[in-house]
Amino acid sequence: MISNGKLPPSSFHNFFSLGIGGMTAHFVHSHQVAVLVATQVLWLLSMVFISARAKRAGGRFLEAEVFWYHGFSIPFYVAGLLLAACFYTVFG
Amino acid sequence: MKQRCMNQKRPSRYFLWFYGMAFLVATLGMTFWHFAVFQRQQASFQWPTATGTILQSAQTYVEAGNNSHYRADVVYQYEVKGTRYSSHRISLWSSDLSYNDPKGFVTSHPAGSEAMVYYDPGRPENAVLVPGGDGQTDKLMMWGGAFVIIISVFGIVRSWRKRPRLSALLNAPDAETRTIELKRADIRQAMGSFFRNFLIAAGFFITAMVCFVAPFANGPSVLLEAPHKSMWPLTLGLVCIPGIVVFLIRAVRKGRNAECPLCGTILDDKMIASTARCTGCGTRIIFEDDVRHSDSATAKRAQPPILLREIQISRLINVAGFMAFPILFVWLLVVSDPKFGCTGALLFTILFCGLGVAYYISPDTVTRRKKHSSTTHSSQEDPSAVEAEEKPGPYVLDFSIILSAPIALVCYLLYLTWEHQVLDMKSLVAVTIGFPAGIGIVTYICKWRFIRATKLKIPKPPAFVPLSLLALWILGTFISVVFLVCLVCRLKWFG
Repeated sequence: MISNGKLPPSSFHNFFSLGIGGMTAHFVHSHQVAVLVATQVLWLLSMVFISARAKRAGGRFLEAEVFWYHGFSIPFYVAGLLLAACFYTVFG
Repeated sequence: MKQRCMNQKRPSRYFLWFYGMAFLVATLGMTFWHFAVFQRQQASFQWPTATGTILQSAQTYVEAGNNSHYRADVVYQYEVKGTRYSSHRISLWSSDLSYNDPKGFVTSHPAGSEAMVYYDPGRPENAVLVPGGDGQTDKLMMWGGAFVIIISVFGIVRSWRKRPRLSALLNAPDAETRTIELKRADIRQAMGSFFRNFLIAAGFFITAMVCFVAPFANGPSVLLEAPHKSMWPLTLGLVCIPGIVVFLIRAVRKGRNAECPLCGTILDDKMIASTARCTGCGTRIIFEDDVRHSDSATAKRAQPPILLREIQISRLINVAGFMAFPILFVWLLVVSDPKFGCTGALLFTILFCGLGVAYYISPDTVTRRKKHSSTTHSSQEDPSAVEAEEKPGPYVLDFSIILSAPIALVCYLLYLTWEHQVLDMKSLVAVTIGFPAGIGIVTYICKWRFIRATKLKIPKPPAFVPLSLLALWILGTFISVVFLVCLVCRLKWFG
């Protein structure tokens, strides 16, 4: 996870996706549709931005292949969603 | 000649000394003033007391744009030696508890209730309900002032200790002809390292300051008010302190390569380019790089400093855009829910900005490129072979299969979350059994597809596909255990 003494950008993006997933469940629980949509748009825009910038640099974004961002951020997003949704459905 | 040499340095030195001493005196003044105020306020603990009656007690909202706040409108009456006084002052540090959440005070001191009044024996009309001073803010200011004074004194002592050596160097017989050879590249590299480490240390320092100051910004807690202190800013602030120390030490160590070997003055290569002398001891400096590459010396001097020269716009856009989304997300949370305070958002913004700076100035070049790059191979190798070797195989279907089980569960759980329902007994049993079963089926399908791909010599999918399967197993185990424990607990309750 840590290389060169700092969190790699792809790992940072994974944690960002985890947070987005968790907060998505929170917004679903609190019925904040506008914020829910804004959060999803923000996450999708971040993915689009990474893709677009990587396309200009031969498939690489900040020293890593672009699929290291997308490939892990989607599972992390789903994991965040799952954990938070579990919390709300088990504990109320 | 010697006198001229010393005189050349005097104006800038006196200029710095003047402002340094002025800053030190101002800090000393501020610190002692806060100390005096604090002592005066603390003296109110020794004041005599009288029993008073609260005549009026209400919380009032003061509309003032960005400075809107609540204040406590309290009026109380008390008697000293047969004379009746009335006052509205609650404490010496805030007469109406503005900006200090006065709700707790107003609730605990309703109109008509009795309260202990502390009055000044010399001037009985001067009284308070909450004695003492604003210990938190005053102590913070005093400690901050003490810190600045210690640093300043350390700097002054260091400067004084350097003076005899500097004086000896400036008055030496060979002062005008003394020459040392240095490498300009080393100095630039050292300065670059110094600034990089210093900036990171400054980032940690700002974060720590925000963490430590945030609890004080709300002012002291009033007596009888429910405590609402959070420990995480303090913890984060304490975590930042080693970061400050480590990066400051690194900055100092790296910066030593940019010091004059004779007097220890930090060398500025632009200054040396114009005077060709050390600004401290006046020693003539010759750069080996300039001697060796005399042809390109002029071009090198014309170039901007290394930090500016190496700015990569594309990388800057990448990092700025990359960090903008998390920062926007944090502020979106603040807008959506008042629970997420501005202080926390500001803290995270600073942290993310610091991380962005780290990503910009120190590329993750070593491990990642070796592992994942397909562009680091030299063009001498056969490009098609390299491409065939490193190009990942198809993975969308495998990836979708892996994600299908958790996504199905997520959809069901999100529906329940939206409806504000919890899992009933049947659902819990179904999920506890069904989810691991789903993971098993997914694993079997993926294994079958991987074996098939090996037989058909289809390129392997990227590493994140099997890693995602592993993550699914870990997550599935965790969630199954949670569901199982929940199920057992409910069975106990129902049993």
